[in-house]
Amino acid sequence: MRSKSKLAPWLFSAPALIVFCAVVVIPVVWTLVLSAYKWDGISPMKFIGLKNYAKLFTDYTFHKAVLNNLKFMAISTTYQFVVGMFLAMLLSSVTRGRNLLKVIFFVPCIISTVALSQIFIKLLALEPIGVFNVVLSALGIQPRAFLGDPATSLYTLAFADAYKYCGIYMVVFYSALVGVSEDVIEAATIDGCGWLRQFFYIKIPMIKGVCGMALVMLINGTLKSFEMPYVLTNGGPGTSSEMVATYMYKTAFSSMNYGYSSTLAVFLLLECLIGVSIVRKMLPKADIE
Amino acid sequence: MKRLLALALALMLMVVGCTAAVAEQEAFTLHWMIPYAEDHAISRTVALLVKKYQEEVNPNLVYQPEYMADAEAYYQKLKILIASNEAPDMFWGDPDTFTLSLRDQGMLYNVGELLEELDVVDQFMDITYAYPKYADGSLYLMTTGANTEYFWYHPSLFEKAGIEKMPETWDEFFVACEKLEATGVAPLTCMGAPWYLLRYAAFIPYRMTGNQFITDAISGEVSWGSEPGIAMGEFMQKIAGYFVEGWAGLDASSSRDYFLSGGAAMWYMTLSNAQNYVVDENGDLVEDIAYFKLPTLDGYDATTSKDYFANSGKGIMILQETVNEHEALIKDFVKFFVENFGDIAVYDCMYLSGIKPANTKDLSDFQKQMYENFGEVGVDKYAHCWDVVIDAASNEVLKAEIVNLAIGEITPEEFAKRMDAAIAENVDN
Repeated sequence: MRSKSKLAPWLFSAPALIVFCAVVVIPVVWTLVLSAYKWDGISPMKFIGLKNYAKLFTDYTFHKAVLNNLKFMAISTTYQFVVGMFLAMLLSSVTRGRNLLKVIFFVPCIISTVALSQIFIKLLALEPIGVFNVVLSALGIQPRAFLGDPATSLYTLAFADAYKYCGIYMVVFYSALVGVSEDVIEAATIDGCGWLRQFFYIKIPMIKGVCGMALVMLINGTLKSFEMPYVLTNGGPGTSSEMVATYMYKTAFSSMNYGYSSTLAVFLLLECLIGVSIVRKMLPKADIE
Repeated sequence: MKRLLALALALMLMVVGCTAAVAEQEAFTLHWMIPYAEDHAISRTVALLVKKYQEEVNPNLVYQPEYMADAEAYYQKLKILIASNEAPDMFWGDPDTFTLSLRDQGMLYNVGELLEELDVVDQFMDITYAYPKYADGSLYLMTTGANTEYFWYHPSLFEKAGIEKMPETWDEFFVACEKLEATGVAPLTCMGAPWYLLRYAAFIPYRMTGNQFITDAISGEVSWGSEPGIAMGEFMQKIAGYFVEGWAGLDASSSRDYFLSGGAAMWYMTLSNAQNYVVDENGDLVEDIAYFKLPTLDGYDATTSKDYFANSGKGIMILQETVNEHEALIKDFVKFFVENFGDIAVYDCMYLSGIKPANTKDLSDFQKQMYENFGEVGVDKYAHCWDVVIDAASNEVLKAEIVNLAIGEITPEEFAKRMDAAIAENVDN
């Protein structure tokens, strides 16, 4: 018998809605409100309207952070997408040792960010010289301080971050690839389609939706990236690897400028929404479902 | 009548005795946040002193220290605790705009009045007592150091480079740097911490004008693009060329290790942070380490060779709320602290205390020299720490931009423009 109560769906989803409101909606609204105030956590809050937003236009560090974040997003997204897809392709083609390879490729994802950052710091160190620089020396290339050089710190950070998380997308793409119907592949093989052409002209188009979803997650995740940038370089040297999220954190907890920090949080929210919207506009609607 | 008087006197004595007994025996957990590692000389001194207090005066005092060697992490946690109304009973800090705001909110106990009440002001060296005072003369922090800052160097590397005497002027300093570079050794180690770079930033303006430039610049009376400001920017970019490679990504321990391992010939550092590594258990300099003072600048006599960075380090602050609840105990503890800190610091922990030790006969030659150096710097002449005197909001801009300036991301003129803008925006705060 069909329930005629219109309240029933709301009642059943109430617990989830309440949690969602408590951990998402209310903090977002509070952040919006706080962004209109000047507050250091000790003195009384002072209403200043849109002054914090006006400051965004003249804040050099913020401009640098946004630019860094966009570069970081481009590099890390490309790496994770391409390498994740490549590893998934590799895994789907391998029969022996597939599970072992899957575990090996996924291990960086489960290592703590702090531990992985320390590994990279030692690997890339100049004094005492790390393994990476030893290899460079052996190849006749001048060793350098990758993390201590403002010219290379951002790119090093982007690759380190991408290295940590590309295993997740390997798993996502692999799951999608193994879901492609074997009948289609057999038919293509019978028609003389080689392995590589099968991959690019049959498998990839059939997992377009998953690719679109992965792109959305990547853009969203890299724009909000905080852990690795904070631990590995702390935005330095200077502001050469400053991200919007790390700048927001420092503004709140070092400068104790909670109002302006909330403004940066609002910007980050809007930036992610715009980024995701652009991706959704570019991809056909059905592909993102 | 006589009986009544005797009874009244006895009652009075009982009350006084009880109060003292309460102060001495009161159960209290002292939560103390300390911005040094547990094995730092100051941390060890405080721990030994508290232990002595527990043994001799009040065994019911429970000591709960929280050590945080990373300065940035320490301040972040402290600020969050304060904002959450969970401030520790005692903590350390600088006499900057942050602690000033705490004072203005009534959160800090007036240590200056307490020290006068306890009649222990004379036990402090002049700079140690005066350094943490705010501009209006009030004293809410109690500092403990007799800290001077030097260029520590390896005489063997200097000899190998053919440098016959310590540099006394900046021209001689840069000649020495060139000679050291020619031998393949990095002239200077450095770290990316902004406070450290701000020391270098202050050198030239201090030699040109004393503290006048920074005093005027932070109030907006003079532009950061004036002659001392531009000279500072050019100096920063010149001296950064002599730092070890990758210095901007080095932390304190890595930069120190560069020097101690001989990878760099010189290390500019405060005595309090260096002494664990440059002073042996007898209180003398270790082998192949010597020091020289801040070089002078030819053509400028605003300061002399006896004037340089001297301060008494971070100061101890006491939460007003804690005093409200345990006034007698806190006063008793502070008195004990001041009376015992000097000797424990100097003889048990090799820390040069700005609270005078009772015993000065057993000081090593090096310690005597350091005290003499500290005493020579005038109370009105020591170099001000830029990150302490500037307002908090402009300080964040200063810390970010000084690194950008040193790594060559911006020109001295661009640095001046950004600092002028920050000061103009924040000066009223």
